[in-house]
Amino acid sequence: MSGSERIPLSRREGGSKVLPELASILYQFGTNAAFLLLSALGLIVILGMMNIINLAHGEFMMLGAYVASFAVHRGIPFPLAVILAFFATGAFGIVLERLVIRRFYGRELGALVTTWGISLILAQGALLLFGPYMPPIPIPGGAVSEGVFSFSVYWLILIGISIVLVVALTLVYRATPFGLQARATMQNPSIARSLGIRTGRVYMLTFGLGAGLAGLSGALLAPATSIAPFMGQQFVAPAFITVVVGGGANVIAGAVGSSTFLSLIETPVSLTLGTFYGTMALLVMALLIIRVLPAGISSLGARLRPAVAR
Amino acid sequence: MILEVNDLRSGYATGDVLQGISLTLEGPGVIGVVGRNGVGKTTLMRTIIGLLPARQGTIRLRGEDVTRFSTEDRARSGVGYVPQGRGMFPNMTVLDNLRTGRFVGGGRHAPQFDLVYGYFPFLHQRAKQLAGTLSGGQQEMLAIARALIGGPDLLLLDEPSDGVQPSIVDEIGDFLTDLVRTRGMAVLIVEQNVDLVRRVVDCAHVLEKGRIVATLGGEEIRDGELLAEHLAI
Ligand SMILES: Nc1ncnc2c1ncn2[C@@H]1O[C@H](COP(=O)(O)OP(=O)(O)OP(=O)(O)O)[C@@H](O)[C@H]1O
Ligand SMILES: [Mg+2]
Repeated sequence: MSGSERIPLSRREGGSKVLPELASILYQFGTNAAFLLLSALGLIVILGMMNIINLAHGEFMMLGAYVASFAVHRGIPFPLAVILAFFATGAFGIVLERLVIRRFYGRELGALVTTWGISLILAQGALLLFGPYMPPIPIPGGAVSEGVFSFSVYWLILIGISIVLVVALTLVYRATPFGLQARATMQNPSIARSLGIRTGRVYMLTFGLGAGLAGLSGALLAPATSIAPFMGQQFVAPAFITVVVGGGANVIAGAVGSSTFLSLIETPVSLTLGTFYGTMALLVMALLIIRVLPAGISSLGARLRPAVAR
Repeated sequence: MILEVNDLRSGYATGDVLQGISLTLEGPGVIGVVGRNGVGKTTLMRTIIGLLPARQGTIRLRGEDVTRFSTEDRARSGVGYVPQGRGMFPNMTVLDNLRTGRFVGGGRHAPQFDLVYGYFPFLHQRAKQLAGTLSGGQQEMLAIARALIGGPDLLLLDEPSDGVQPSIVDEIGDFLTDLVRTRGMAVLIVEQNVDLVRRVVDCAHVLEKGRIVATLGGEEIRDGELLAEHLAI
């Protein structure tokens, strides 16, 4: 930022190069965790609440990025474009749920194949309609530098947004009437219906929320990548790894736990050996966790809870 | 006329279980359905609330034909259903379980927490506890309270004494009697516990192989002999 703010650091020169170094490691860790979390958010809502493996997740993210790109290049400010991406992709998700997805409830394999088909149609459709790439969105915000280290302001904001999204999502599920109905529906749909809860509506809104979150994340990550029909693929693997490692006992907490844990491993390896080995370390770690805790990190909490209650 | 079931048939892929059931609840009071294991008592309850489709016959609530209504809409038009096995949301708190019942009866008024806490004070004390950690009897009372909190005018109870200790069965009996007297509730109860049936029921239909084979009035029920005979295995 401004020169005056940097003075105190340079005064302490020699004494503590540790501070910016630590900050840099934390920053790397934060961006890695934020990337995993943002990639996974929409997926976990749909998987955790509806037990549907949404193979079109990456394409929902692509849709969000496309909406944002359109909007930004028509003069709409980027933050508004991101919100627009959320609502547009969410609305698209709701339409899709009403027309197609709802016919496959209780048939997990059917839903899997269907969402796969949707993902192909969306990616090929985007290619046909808009060509091989979209105009990029410039990264907002510039960079802050501390000595040899530089931090992208935008990624710092993304870290903050990830935290806000997790808190907001938790509040929606813990503290709103919709959240109550969604949790009841998830635990026992027949009983929920026999209590007058319109489970069809809950599923529709949940799918819309999951799709909207995917679109939101796609828009948020769009400036950091090239916006193209098949861009979704790069998010799908990290998203699924985060979800599987997180487990189903508490999907939101699980995703937070697994994205934190995985980036705790990935970051130091990336910093010392390079990003390729960082990604390798992440994959190996994911395999190990799934081996040791087949029900994911969140099952740890579920195992501890009865002990606490006693 | 609160509930009117006419010539109802329903069942599973393996065939019809209910072979044409007719019964009515005219107003406040408790009507029992008794019978041995596997005669179709739960099937009848699930068909009335709509979790199983009727293959033939009609179900009317306060005169309205609801045979083609969804389960949600039947609950919202005033039916509180307490399934066999209680149907808890075990990972939700007692309070959240109660809150899920607010749409029974349509959800137009605020949930009646005072009413259910008055009958079952432990629900208030244990509001923050996970429902799955309650004892069987407490879960049964929570399931009943959850079905009641939205203000239904008909309660469907499927074996509330199942897996519940005798003292709590008595408590549930007293509660039902009071509910009918002070609130004018209509209750359809499936029960195999002779004591509970004798205590609360005005009239009991005996189910056998999906048909009502006898209907016992007040005297015959309190006599107990006949009832025990119909329930004996
Ligand atoms: N999901 C199902 N699929 C196929 N058959 C079923 C199913 N559920 C119950 N049945 C059969 O239907 C018949 C009636 O079952 P139902 O549960 O209505 O009996 P019940 O009178 O409630 O018995 P209980 O006293 O044990 O609760 C039984 O023969 C049972 O085996
Ligand atoms: Mg039964």
